[in-house]
Amino acid sequence: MCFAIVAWTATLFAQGDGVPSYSGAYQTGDFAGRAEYEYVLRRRDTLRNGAFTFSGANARALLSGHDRSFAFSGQYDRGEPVGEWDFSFGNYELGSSVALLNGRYQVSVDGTRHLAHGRLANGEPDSIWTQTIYRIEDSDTAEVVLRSDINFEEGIARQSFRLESGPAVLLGRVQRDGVAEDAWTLYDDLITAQEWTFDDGQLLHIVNDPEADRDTLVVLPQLSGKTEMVDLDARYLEWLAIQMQLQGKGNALNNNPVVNLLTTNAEAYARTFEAIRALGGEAGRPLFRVSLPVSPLSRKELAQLESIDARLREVDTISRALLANTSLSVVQNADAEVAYLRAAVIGLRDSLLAPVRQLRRSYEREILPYVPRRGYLAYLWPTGGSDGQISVRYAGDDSRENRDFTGPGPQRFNISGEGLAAVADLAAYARRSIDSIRSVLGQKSNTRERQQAIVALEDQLTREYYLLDSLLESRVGTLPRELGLEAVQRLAKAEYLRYAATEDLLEQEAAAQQLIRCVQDLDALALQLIRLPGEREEVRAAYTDEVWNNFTATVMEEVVKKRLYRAYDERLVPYYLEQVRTGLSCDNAATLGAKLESLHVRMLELRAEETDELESRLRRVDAPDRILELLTAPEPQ
Amino acid sequence: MSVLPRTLALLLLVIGSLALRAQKTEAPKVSTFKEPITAFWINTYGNIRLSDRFFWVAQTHFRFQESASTPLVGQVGQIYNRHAISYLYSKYFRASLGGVLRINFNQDGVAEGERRTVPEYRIWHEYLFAQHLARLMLYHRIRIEHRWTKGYALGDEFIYRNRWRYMISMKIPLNKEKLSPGAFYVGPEAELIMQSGKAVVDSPLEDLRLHTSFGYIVNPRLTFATGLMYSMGQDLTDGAYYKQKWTWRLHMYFSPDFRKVKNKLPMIHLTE
Repeated sequence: MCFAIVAWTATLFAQGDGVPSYSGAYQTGDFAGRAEYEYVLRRRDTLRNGAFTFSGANARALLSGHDRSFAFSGQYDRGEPVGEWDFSFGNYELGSSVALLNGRYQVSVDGTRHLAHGRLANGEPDSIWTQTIYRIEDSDTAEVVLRSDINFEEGIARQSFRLESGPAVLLGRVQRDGVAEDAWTLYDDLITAQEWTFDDGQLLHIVNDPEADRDTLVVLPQLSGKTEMVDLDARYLEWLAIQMQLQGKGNALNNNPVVNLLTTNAEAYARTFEAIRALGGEAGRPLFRVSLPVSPLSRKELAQLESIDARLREVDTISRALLANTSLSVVQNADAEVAYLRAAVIGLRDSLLAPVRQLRRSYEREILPYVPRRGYLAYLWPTGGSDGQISVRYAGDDSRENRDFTGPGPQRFNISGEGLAAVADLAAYARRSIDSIRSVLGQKSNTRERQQAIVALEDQLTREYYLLDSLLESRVGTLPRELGLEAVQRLAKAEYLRYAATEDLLEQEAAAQQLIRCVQDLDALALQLIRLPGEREEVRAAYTDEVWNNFTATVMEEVVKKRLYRAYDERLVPYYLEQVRTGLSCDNAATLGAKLESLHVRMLELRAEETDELESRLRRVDAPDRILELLTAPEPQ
Repeated sequence: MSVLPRTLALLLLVIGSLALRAQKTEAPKVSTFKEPITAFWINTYGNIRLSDRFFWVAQTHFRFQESASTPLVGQVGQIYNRHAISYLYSKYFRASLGGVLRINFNQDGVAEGERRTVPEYRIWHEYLFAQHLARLMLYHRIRIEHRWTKGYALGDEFIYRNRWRYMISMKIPLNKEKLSPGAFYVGPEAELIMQSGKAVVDSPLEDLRLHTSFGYIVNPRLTFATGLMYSMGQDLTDGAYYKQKWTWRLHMYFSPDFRKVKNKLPMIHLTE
């Protein structure tokens, strides 16, 4: 017992000097493991102060695939990471050698080990930072994948930097604000191999072998018009690749050592900065910055791109269902028409829409505003457009056969003339085409098994539906309209009728399954709504104190934490109920029910918690979503 | 001078003055109501909670009355401090015991040989009965005061009297079902104040007060009200004469509770 107390005291106080310390399980950001640190108490906050070590490794994860281990050590000054810090990140899988020593397994690992070292000031990198990535084989260093030295001042890369991988060394310079400047030179075995020239962040040209041949790889157009400073990251390199493609040098940057060094270095810093942020630092400013021409997407272009994205998603969903359908796989062996249509689906998805997908990727990666749209579309559709025709090769009755597929509706897409509008038309055409294929294939798959499965699903669906309907029928008249039970009933009925009108057997099965889920969600929501008046009363009672008034000689009810209670009663509950009444769908039914339930639980928790700070913040907030953020945010530590 | 000779002297003085009056004029055959005067009172009523059952009653009243030139607030009448410890026996009954220090201000200028102010002392006890009647509350209040007063003349001595007070009052919520935070209410009151003592010869009815106030309950700890009071009572020195007064009153009722939260909960419901 005495020993336990002594041991416990030892964990709380370091060596009797009165500095409290912690040793035990610890989690911050995405990192979880064990930490040891000293701290000070200021008001009710625990501020890390002094030496800090934190590490984690998961043997179970390693055994079942791979593990990401980490170890961080450094110093804190009243809650802020300062001074020298060391970071180590491992990404390992089991190696080939195993030994059993003294009853312990010793296994070797393969993978990478990434070490980072540097100083932090005010939570930001502020010195020369070194990143080293090793490739590990059988727990030994096999190769140095990257060694990077960058000088930081107040979180911003300054002066010159050096990135190294094997024989390749990249030396470069940046301006005071991290903007790329002058020549960035790549040496291969000490011989100048490539040179990237920047002027105030703008990449001017890339030249191979600058000392001898001056083989110009690419010259970038002089920037004119509006420009924007962006990070030199994967997105920029992708932009650069598109520029090369537009100049007809499509693959010139494939396996380019400069690109590889910059990419690996950016990844290493992303990992390090994430750790620094998790530890309470500020790191997060971009490493290097470059300048790009920009022409923001217009409202019209955005609408067209959104529509293209929606059509692609629909095509993907339907084509996945058609290609995964096992009964169709069986039927296609006996029916050449089915084989042809399924091949057409693949053709639509992979060849007709390939350039559309590339366009969407550029949009999603936020590269499109920096790319001349007309030129880019001309690159994606070198013929200037599409006639919607796909040449389909499929297994026919006797041999492989070729046939052209064309879908319904207009089939000429003049992309060079009409731009994005024509691309949107093309995507819509693909959607129409895949719909037409689906309805033909649906007829072909009316097998007995399928019908039986649907009958079983429909039985379940009908049971669930009538259960919900009778529950609602008994309450709709008696409970307040405000609860929106009628909306639940209306939606259930509409979805049920919509299902009843589905004739396509292929669709029916998926639709029945979806509707069963929907009816179950609606049932849970309805029960939650029926409980709501009782829950509201419970919250009201919890937030009401009975106070004796000596003047009137009566007990008076008084709402306590008034601002919090009103936010609940007058803003949040009506906000959710409004969503039930006007915006209910199968997609949000489950979430709405769960949110109402968790709000109830949270309100009861908050009654007992210290909420002065929260209430004073609520004074400045009126929008329900902002109120919700405040209510669900953990109290500041 | 011991108490007995002093009381005798006082008695002689009063009888003497009455005799003097009788010599001068005939006793009136009918009672006479004087012209009413106007007054303005600002009253604060504190009920500071000390424990589940004990309160500290702390009241301060500032009373003004008309002067020759200004109605209502022409001059200071009295400044009045009433304190007591109140014991809450049940929801329906409480009793209080305490003291009063009142400063009376000489009216209409200070004549030669008179003081500007004189103190007045009281010991008082009170018994309050509360009753629920549908949505309104009905109260009966019995208050007994033992009172030492003296006139403004430099040679005046304290005289001792008892006051016997009974008040019936109501509080009727207007916009709510019950008296609760946010409620406006009307509070009619009627109080009869009788007096006795050696100095009281033919003026046992000191005051009859008819008062109706209109109040707002901000929360269980704060209420504001205002009202108009008509009062009349006999002159101490000549019971045939009745004084009359119209008083506009402002009231603030405050009831802080400085006990720690854990001592407040659960709320005592007292004996039903």
